[in-house]
Amino acid sequence: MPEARGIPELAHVPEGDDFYDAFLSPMRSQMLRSVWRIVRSPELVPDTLQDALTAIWRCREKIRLHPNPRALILKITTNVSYDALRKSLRLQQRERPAEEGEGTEPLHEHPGLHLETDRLEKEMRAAVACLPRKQAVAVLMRLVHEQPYPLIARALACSEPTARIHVMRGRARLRRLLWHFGIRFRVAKGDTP
Amino acid sequence: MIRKKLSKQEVDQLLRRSFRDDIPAELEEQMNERFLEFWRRASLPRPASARERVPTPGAALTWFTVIPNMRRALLATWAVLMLAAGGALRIGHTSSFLAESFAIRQTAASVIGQLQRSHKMECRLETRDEQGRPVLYLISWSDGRDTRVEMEGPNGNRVWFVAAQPMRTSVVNVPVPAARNQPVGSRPHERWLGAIRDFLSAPAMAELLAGQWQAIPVASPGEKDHAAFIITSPAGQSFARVIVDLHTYLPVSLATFPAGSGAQLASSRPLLSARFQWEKPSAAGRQP
Repeated sequence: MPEARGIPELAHVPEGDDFYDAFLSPMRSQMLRSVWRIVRSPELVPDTLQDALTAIWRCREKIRLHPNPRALILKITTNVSYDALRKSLRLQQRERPAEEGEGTEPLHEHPGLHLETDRLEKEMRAAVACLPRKQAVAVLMRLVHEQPYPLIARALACSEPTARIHVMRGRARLRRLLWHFGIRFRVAKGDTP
Repeated sequence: MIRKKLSKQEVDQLLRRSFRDDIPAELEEQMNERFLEFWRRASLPRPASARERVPTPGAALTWFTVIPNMRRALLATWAVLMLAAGGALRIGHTSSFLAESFAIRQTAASVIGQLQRSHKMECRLETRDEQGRPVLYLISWSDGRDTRVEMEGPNGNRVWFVAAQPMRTSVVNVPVPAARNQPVGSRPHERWLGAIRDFLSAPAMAELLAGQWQAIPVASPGEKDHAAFIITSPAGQSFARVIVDLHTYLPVSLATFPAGSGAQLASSRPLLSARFQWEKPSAAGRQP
């Protein structure tokens, strides 16, 4: 595992600052899990977490004043993780262009739902990385983190119907992308996905 | 067997499965540490930057603090010294030789420039003939016209009109009606005009003033706006004393002296002395 980046120089926490206790500490576990679920790379996760913490620290005054600070923290974490996901996929494409060639067995040749787990995860993450930022964040917050729409709307600074539209369009685009990637179910008699 | 797109529910299922929450315990512990470390670093008192650092007597002895402080102190001392020197020069009214030299050169250039821009001049010039008798010339010239020279000498009055080209001897010699009994056609005009040839046109005067200028005190203290200079010809053969009006940068009077009279210029008798009246050049052509 490569050595993680150094912790950047930040402004000193003033004495008596309750930001950590009031906002950050309750979100710690959720932040860690959010980063892991999206990035899913032990090498990238610590750096991504640090980037998220830095971003949160820089806009901590905005978080204090936000109507739903926890939603905003989660959104920032998801946003940073989404960036890390896109970056890692780009790097993978550059580093391993030949591995996904002719040798890979086509998925649709397998009967039923025989999608390899790794391949499935990879294609799904690639599909999510292809979504526009707001749709990706809305889909991840709704379907992965299972947050309610009002909270997503607060975090995205939009109305609730708009947040729903982001999720709906993101999901529709995911379907198209997955079809395009060749991930499709072959439903035989008695097979259910 | 059919192929179909994933349904909404299937997409959701696959999404949750792909982004499932199965963080390894070891990694979670590592991330927790990272999280706490981040906050601990942020909570630590930040080391003061160089600007904020106030050196204590002990700390000031270390090189890292002494060198920047010394450089700053040197710059500050240098700035204070420069300010003090500037103030002392201004209060003491001591003129720098260099600045004075520049000022004189600037004045000389302005005078010559104004001469070449001037439109009309009238000059009263006094000199003596070979026998030491006084001769008075009244010279006037203006743009596009011949220079008129009127001489009042011991042998009578003469009037010449000199062509704009000053050194050409195409001189029209006209007797003044009131002139005393002098024949008209037999004057050696070159001899009379040769003495004043430097005043017959603006370029000739500019040539006369081209030389090394040296400031001298003005003779009459009442003339505040005038400055006096001695002009030594480039070959050092003649001297001229000129008084310049500092408003118009035009010569007010001029006297020439023979060679070798440099040191005793004040007591020497001038070869000729002239006083000028100028039509002021347009404001656009004036020098500051």
